[in-house]
Amino acid sequence: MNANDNNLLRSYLLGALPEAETEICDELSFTDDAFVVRLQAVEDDLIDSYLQNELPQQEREQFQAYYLASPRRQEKVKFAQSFQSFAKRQVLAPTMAPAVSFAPAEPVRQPIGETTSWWESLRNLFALPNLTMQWGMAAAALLLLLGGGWLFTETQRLRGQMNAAQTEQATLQQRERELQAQIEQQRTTNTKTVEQLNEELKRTQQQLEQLKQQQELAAQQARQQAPIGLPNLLHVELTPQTRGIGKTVEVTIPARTDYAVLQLAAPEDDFQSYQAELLTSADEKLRWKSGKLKARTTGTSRVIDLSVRAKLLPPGSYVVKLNGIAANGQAEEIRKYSFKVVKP
Amino acid sequence: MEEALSYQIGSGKEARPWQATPESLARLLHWLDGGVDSQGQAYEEMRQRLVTYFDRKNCRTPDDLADETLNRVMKWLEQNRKEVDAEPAKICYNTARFVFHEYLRRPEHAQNDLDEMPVANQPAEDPRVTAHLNEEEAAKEKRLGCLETCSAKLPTEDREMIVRYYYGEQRVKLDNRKALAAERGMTANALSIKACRVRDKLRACVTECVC
Repeated sequence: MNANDNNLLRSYLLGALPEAETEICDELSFTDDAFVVRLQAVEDDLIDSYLQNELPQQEREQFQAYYLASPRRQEKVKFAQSFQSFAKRQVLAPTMAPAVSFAPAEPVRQPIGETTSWWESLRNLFALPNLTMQWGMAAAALLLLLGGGWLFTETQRLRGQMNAAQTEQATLQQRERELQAQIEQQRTTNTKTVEQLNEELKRTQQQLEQLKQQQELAAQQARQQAPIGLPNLLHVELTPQTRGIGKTVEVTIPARTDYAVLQLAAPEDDFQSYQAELLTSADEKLRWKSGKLKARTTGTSRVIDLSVRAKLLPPGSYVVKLNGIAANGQAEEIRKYSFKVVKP
Repeated sequence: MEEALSYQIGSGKEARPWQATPESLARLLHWLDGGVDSQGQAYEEMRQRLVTYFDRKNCRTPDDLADETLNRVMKWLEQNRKEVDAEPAKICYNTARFVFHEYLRRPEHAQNDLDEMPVANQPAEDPRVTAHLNEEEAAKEKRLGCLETCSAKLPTEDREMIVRYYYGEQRVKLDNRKALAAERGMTANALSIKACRVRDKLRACVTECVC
């Protein structure tokens, strides 16, 4: 099935095909198993593209007017939204179990897979006869890996610069593949000198340095002005309530904030996961309840991120009740955090 | 054949409504299986296709219409009382078309309820949506929790595959998919089908878990 077929299926799913073609697709969706599977795959990609804002304006409008008219399909979109968050979490938070590694699960059958070839090439490097070049290229590969890793972390933090950073990363990965190809060439023809490869390595390092500077600049810009279309976040650090008289944390939520990210100082108890409840202080009325949460390590401490929609936090006093969930699924209240939202 | 079907099973108007019996259901299952006992799986698949068909047509009650279609097919099989050679998928599709056209002619279908309006035509601030924001947020968290639980049940290889397959945007996503297909020695098409199946399995598990 080619791209044209995919476009036709997309039009079918968006209710934009002429009646005669629609009927053909309708019939195939009963009689042809391969068509059904293909249609499902195209539908999944269509939903993802919509959520990632990749659809052209016209298709986007058709999607909203036709596709989203069905509650059943709305559910599919909600699932896809959660699935994207889940996939991102799996990739970006390697400490979380069961995290997904981008390292391959099985041997590479063709040497064009990017992550596999990193490991393959690193291993192969140590089989080369020229030690200087081995270590030089190992350093190059490691630098690229570290550069890629650094980019990844930075990209996550910036969020708003996600697409630009990913494009840069892809470029570096492409460069890495080219260098690997050169290693291969070197191994067989032995024509390229170590100096030339070192020169290339230096250039790659310079590119990484430039990229780092661009990212820092982008980070500054992102901090000054949140990009359009992305949620505005407000980070608030909260420490647990104690019996002593302490000053309640006062939070001012700017008008355009979408989410308040409450960073709760996590307890040292080793719970499988956590769950939090947001209550109003005065009457302890439940305003919101989270799903399962995981603690993350930051420096020497551990925190639990709680993203609460800003709409749920009008001025007033609040308490966050943190429950620990043991391996057997039993919940136990472990801490309370209080804070006050004041008018901006 | 369509005319005959229209006459025999396309019309739901009769003096005494026809009732399905355990025998007629057994006959339908046998016919859908085509000689191989699928333990009801063929029936489930056909029902799912019918529900999807009616849903794609933006019908309000896809499940009811799917059941109505299957009832009519059961009745048709009973009236024939012999081995019917016609392809089940085709018969079901043709019956579904009649059911759909009848549905379109029903007077209540013309009702212009807020629920029926396409999202683009709905008020920007649907009060019901606002009222359910809290629940929606909680549902989202629950779905994520279920996703973790359900994905943990998948074989490691499948779990890693779908995360890598669907992760990223635009160029990054395409690069991931290309690399993944190369690693597994699969064509892009075969990989997309495999990923789609696993995602579908995951979706079914999450739907069950959330309910």
